[in-house]
Amino acid sequence: MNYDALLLYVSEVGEGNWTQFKRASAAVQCDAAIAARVLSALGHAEFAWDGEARWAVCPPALSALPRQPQPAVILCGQRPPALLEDMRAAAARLELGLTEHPQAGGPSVIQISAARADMLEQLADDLRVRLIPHAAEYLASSLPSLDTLVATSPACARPVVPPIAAFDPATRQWLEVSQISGDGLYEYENFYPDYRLLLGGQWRLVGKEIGIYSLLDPSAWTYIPERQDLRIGARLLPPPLYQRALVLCSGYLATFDGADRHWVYRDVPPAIVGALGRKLKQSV
Amino acid sequence: MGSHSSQPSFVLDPSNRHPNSSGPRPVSYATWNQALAAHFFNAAKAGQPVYLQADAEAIQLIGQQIGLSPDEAEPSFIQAVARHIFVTTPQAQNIMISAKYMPSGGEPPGFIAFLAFCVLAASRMERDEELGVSAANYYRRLNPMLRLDRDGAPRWFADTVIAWQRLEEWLHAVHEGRYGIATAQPLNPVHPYVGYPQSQCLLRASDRSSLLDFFCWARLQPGDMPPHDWLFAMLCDWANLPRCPLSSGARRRILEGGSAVTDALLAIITLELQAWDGTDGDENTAAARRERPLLHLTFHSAVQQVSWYEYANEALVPLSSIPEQFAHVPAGPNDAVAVFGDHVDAGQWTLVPRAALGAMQVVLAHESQGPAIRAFLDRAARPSWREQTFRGIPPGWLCFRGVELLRAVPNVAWDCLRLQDNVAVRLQGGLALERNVYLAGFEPSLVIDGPDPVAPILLDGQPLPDHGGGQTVIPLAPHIQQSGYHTITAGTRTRSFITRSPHRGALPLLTVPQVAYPLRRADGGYFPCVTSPIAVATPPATGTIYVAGAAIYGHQEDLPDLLPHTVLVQDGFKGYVILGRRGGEIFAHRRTFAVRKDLRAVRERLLSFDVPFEPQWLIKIGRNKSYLSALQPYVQPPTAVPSGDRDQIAAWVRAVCRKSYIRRLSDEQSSVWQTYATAGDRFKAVR
Repeated sequence: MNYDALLLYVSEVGEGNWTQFKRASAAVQCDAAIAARVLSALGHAEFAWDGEARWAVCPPALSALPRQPQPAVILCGQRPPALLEDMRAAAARLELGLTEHPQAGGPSVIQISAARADMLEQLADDLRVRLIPHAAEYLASSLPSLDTLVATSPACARPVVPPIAAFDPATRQWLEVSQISGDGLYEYENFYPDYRLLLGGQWRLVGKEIGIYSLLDPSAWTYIPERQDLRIGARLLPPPLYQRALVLCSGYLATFDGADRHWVYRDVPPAIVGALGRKLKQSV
Repeated sequence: MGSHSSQPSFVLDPSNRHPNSSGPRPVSYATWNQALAAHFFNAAKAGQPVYLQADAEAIQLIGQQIGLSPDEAEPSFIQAVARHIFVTTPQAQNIMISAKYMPSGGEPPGFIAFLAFCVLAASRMERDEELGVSAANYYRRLNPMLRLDRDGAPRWFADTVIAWQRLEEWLHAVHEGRYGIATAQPLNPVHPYVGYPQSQCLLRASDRSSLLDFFCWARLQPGDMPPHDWLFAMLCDWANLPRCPLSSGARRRILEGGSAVTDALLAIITLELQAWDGTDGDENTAAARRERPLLHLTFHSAVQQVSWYEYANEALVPLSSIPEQFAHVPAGPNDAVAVFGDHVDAGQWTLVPRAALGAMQVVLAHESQGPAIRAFLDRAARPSWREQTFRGIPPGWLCFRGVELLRAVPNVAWDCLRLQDNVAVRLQGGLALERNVYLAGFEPSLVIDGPDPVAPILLDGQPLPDHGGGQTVIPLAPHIQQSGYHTITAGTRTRSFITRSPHRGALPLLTVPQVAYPLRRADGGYFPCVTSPIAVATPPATGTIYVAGAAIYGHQEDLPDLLPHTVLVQDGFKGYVILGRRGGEIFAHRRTFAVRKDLRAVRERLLSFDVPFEPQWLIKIGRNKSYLSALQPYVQPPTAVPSGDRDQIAAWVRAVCRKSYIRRLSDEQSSVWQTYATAGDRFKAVR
């Protein structure tokens, strides 16, 4: 899996359709659906699924990290080689610390730290890219609540075909089913999987994560304030923009702790955990 | 190319005009060179075959761009080139010297106007209705343009071959196909310097556009590379049709031209076919194709409640404009089966007239054909195909997914599943920037499918492993040493592609998002406008924001408020003071403990404070001592004297001026703290 090559590709091409992305992902041994989630969570590219599926790389930006011993930013979005060369040269000139950390399951994280915040502003000016202070905080502040996400999901008729699986909130597992048994989240077989939520007699087409969180009890998240780690159970990753807000706290994707089967987001400030938890009805 | 590098652009300098001169308005050679280069070789031609087709019409058009009237353009051009060769630099020395090196930066080579001049002479043969590759015919046109009174070639003319080769090098090696793919070739091995310019004007631009009609008429598909003898037979059949849109000259060349002309024509058609993306040409030539209906299959994402297939009379009709129901079920034995290919440019499964060997396809078949289709797929396809039923398939129809045909089977009942032959040569994988253009370092693999052996297999003339039947996959990356134009020959089949290194400095950075999540601000919160990101073409309207990557775009009043800052502190202290950067940004909290012996247990807990400013410093107040630590990294205080709540400012000043803290700070943090203390002293003095 060569995610750096895939990010180079999307930076070069700029935008395209799903077939092009699928082929490019296959060429670098990445699963296209996973690669789309990864690039989206890291703020590198956006994927439009309504109608003809398309994607576009995001404008390059320096996104400030909230909890670092020194002012620090990560590079998000378009990452052409020329920009990287300019960035390395500017970092050396301004005496900034530039690190490129490889990341399992995603492209390298490019982080720049400075003795003072104004030096990062100078870097952004030199590179002519946007500096986004408090990126994760602003994103967390702007996200719609779970109730809003459910209420604005399109209503649909009761399906005429039986579901193939239902989400069991007690065990937090998907169970194979062949009929509807009251309120719940059901998966239907289509060319792509299809998730429908039945709540109070109303059927809605929902994103998988929105459907899951609308049924979850408030204890799915665990926050360890000393380490500022947020732990979320397997299969319970939040909706895509929520994932992005959490990823932008550290620049890294969630890592999977196989010991107790949890995803771990690192360096998440309590304000962001609190805001996101309140919106997704999770008590932390 | 120092001679013309200082030319500003294509703007005619009025001072160059000779009002009393009866000849054409003089325009410098360099200006013509720049204008011709910009006209023929530009970014719009990226990945496409390009022709330096400098006939009289083209020269007139370019002349207009540099301020010349249609009557003046051709004489002015001829005069500029002839003067440059014989007046400025005798014996065309300058031209030839310029051919020996590549210009740096974005400068075009200096010999383009000269090569265009050679092509103009060749095009005059066409104008005089003379056919064939005849050197004598050619020089009869060239020499008068050069004001030479002789029959044969100018003494230096054989050297022009170098310039043609340098042009190809400039297009392929220097610009990696970004300004087009070179098409000039020596039609006649005895007189290549005549063949090169003739190869550029064998077909007019309108004739080349008509080739798209030919490709559709011949039921070719993008990516097809049929044998030349088959292609030429089809071409002759098409050229003989009464409604063939080719010019009379082109038809005569196809039907009556000699072997060299035929080879050159086939080479041009092959290049055009390789660059063809399956789209229509202009409106006139597309008319014939309108007769053939197109079934357009679209698989939707989970949150869309419409059928997954559509029927349309035109290619790629937008989904929203078509009724949801399946409007047409083909009838008859040949229409009871439809094959869908993954159309990479459209990004959708699209009806194709014929299945391709080795490609992934979807087959829709009427129930009546079910047993026969299953038997056929068992014989001809990779076993990974599967039959699937799901919502949206029209009643009485079956869907077969993952169909990859491995061999041609005789006596197939359905045209669409009858393969052209038993060999498929295709490129697979690689990071494709455009059709047939790959990112250097991530070249595709060559896949040869079919039961019959194929040899030899050559990449840029160098041998690759032979194909012994079945499927052979040859990764090309290890065999490609430098980016540029590459050709693969496999038996009688050829394929070409370009490799391109990443942009170096030329790639413009995006400043606005193209796809984003639109959110609507209302009632103090945000509401999704759609269920997933969408393509956005305009800035967000008032009351709306776009979330794209790490950034939020919108009008100032619509942007979100910053979250309150939460500070977590260890419990167990008598009090806590949190300071912000500005004077007056202070938060204080006092704790009381009923039972002192509980203190140890209490200290294992954390307290959470939300403060309305960005916290910089934390002061923990113990029984006897106070401890100072940094919460934020190294931000200096503002220098302006604060305004606002006087008590708050006074408390902030007192806190930063106090000297008795036990500092838990690094050296750098201490020096920043000192700037706060200094600021506090200054504010105190001002007050």
